[in-house]
Amino acid sequence: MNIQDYQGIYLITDTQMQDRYSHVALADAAYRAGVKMVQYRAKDTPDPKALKQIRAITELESKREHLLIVNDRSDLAKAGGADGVHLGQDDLPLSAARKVLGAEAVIGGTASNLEEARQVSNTDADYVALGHIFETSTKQKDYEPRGLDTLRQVRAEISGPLVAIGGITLQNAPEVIDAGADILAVSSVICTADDPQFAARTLAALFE
Amino acid sequence: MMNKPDFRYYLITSRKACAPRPLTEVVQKACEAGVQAVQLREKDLSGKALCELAHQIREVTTRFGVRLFINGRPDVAKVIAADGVHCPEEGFPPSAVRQYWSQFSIGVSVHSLEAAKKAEKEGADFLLFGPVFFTPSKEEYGKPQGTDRLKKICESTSIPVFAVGGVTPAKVSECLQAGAYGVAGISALMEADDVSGKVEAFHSQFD
Repeated sequence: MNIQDYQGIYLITDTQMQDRYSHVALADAAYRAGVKMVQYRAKDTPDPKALKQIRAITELESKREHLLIVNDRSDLAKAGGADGVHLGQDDLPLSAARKVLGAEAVIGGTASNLEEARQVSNTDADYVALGHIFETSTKQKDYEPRGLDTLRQVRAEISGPLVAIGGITLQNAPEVIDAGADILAVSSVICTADDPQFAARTLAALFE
Repeated sequence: MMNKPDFRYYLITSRKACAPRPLTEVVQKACEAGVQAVQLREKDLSGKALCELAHQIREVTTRFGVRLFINGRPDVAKVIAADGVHCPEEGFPPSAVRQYWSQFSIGVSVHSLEAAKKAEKEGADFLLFGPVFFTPSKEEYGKPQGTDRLKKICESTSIPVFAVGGVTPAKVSECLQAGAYGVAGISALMEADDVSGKVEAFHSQFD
């Protein structure tokens, strides 16, 4: 799948706020529901276990040509056979991750304001993830939600794929799309849903 | 299998133990005094900070022709062109390093015979076994393993074993008698007032 053309949902798997579903089960549910991009995020998981889980996701029948991105760790992404890595501001520099993963990999970076979005966009990042847009309980944040105005400002300057992240729900998703996001990154709204696959399908349908 | 390590004594870093002196300064002193390999082990650093520090340590070690291993992060090792990766017992699997980054020499920490055999099978070039003696920094891992267990590990594997944990210059010969290929040290060097003198004291044990 070419991320340049993707408009849809980007699931970030989480097994800390819920433990009914594994990373693999969540990824499978999302891919089956038409979510073509999944990020494996398991901060405190020992590397051998993380590697097994990443490999298990890449082997899913539902994964096929869809994307699997690993949070933070390019080494796990490479050895796990994932498609790329997502880098926060404190992670490996983008150019370094590119060196590890090569030109074909999908590498995205987090930005929390216009300036950081410009910086990420000026590297050879495949997408810029701006957040958090709304209040979120998934990640502890030390700054205020950025809101849709920041999203619009960033959109006005950045032509490549723009991911909006943080506090996105089925209710507010349409206005986030209207504000110019190509891709909506979500976690709790799918991971903690009674039926993750149904929640994923409902969100994916917003782009149809 | 790769050639045996071209070092017998190596330094494992701890920037907290050498504070307030900057780590690069202490590593440089150790390199000047003749240390042959360094393992950068700063587990609490973010990827960004680790990468920056690793670049600095690479610059120093290259200048002195000293081997550099990065603990647990083959991606960082690749980016800064390290000589190898060191895998903690429950860390990044040596087999995956071997498969995807075959240029690296691979050290693996082990704390049991079972883990030692597994690491050898998974492609380790050498093992780091400990803690052999008492050391405050490893107290949380339980009692020292002792030289008898070190001997057992050395006899049961065919790759070089380095002894770690409370190894002082005076204890080097005991480790070598038990079959160790060499020794590694953290606190002995990181906390030393006279880094050069300490490195020389270790080195004289291998003459």
